[in-house]
Amino acid sequence: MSARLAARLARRELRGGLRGFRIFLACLALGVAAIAAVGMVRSAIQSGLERESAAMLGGDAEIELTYRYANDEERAWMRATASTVSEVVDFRGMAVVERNGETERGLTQIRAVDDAYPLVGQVRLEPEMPLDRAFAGADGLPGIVMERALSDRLALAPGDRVRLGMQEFVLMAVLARYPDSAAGGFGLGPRSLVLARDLEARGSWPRARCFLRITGSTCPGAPICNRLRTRPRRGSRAAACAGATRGAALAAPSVSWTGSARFWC
Amino acid sequence: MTDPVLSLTDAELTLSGNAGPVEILHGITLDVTSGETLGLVGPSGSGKSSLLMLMGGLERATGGTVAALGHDLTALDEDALARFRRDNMGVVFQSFHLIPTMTALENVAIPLELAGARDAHERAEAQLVAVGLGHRAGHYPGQLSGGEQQRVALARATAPHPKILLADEPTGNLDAANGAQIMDLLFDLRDRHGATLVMVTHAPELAERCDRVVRLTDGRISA
Repeated sequence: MSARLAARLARRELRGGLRGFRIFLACLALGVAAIAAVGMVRSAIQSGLERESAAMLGGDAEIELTYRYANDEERAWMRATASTVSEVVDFRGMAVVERNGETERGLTQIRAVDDAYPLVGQVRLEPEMPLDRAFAGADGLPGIVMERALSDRLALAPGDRVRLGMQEFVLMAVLARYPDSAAGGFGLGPRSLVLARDLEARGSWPRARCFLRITGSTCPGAPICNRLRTRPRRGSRAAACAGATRGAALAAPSVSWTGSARFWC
Repeated sequence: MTDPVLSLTDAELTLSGNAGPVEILHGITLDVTSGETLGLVGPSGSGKSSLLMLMGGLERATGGTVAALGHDLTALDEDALARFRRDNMGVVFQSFHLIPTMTALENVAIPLELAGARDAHERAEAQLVAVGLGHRAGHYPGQLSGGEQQRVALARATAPHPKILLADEPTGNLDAANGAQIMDLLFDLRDRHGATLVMVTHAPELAERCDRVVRLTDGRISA
């Protein structure tokens, strides 16, 4: 049958009105609406990700090293590549509270950060206070902030003491929001933030690090991710990521990048 | 003796249903010669319409062979069957089966258009005039009486000048006066185009006008 004849027959069929086409037209409208809606949602998500990606990541690019820390050579390369570098350690641990002769424990995903944290975005605490003031602590103890799920679980209020490994902290505030919450990947417990040097200075840090290679730590089984967050010196974020990736690849022969090192853009 | 236009040899038809297979026709052997008018009669459910459908290739025999104009219809696929019907057969149904969204003229022109005739509308118009409906060419089926609709259906079936004309109770839905008119028209068109006519009918007066009558009982030829 020729297209001309088919069109002629179709035109004749349409004389019967569009009533017979109601379902067809409804499906067509529904399909177009669904496609448009998906497109709009996709566009909104994409633009949101582009706008907020740095805050979601906590930087413009990230190198993740699993079960090890960056060595001096790698740090030097990062400093030469980026304008700002922030180092974050992520691992699981038990928050311990001793009260009236009883011990309460709660699993927490600890993020040990440096002074540069967060490179992008803002941390919001309840009660409101700057993050460095929260980390300064009180009564000679360093400060810790944790998500409400953990503070409620352990019945902690600001001013109460809590222990991570061998180091005692004072809870300064509840962690209401932090910029790189989506960048940590899979987490098993509510988040706690501390300064990395507070763990390191009181002896807990080396034990935690050592634990990755031997057994017998206070945080058994804790994997540690060492993240170097960078802010590119110039150019767009995508270009910075591409440059960092190329740089890492070029550096591979001389720098001991492990197989688990990767970039997030 | 001329070759038969239609030839059935031990034709069987069994339809499958939820309650199991239903045997409709059993061992039908029948020849219809060129220009012959054959009447199929018998009680309701005896298989008359099913036999007509077999002859037209509208049903596929489950056993035996059905040949039309030397072509084995049981060996043709659906597309080939449709082309064969388009080129060689005209069918008139009891309930007309006109397309409601097309005018009388367009309904008659449809088989000609599908066959690629350039003068489809002119020929359709002439055929409508032949059945006495030249003045109703622009009317839709809903605007025509039952008798008029069947005349349009007759015009549609005969417009391509088919070699075989099949009619399934063409007067079954009409009153006596309209039925008689349709009968006259049917035989007149047959004579004019020299077609072979096979007709299912309950009307004795229609059967009497046939060259030969075959009676069916319980899916078998009984006389």
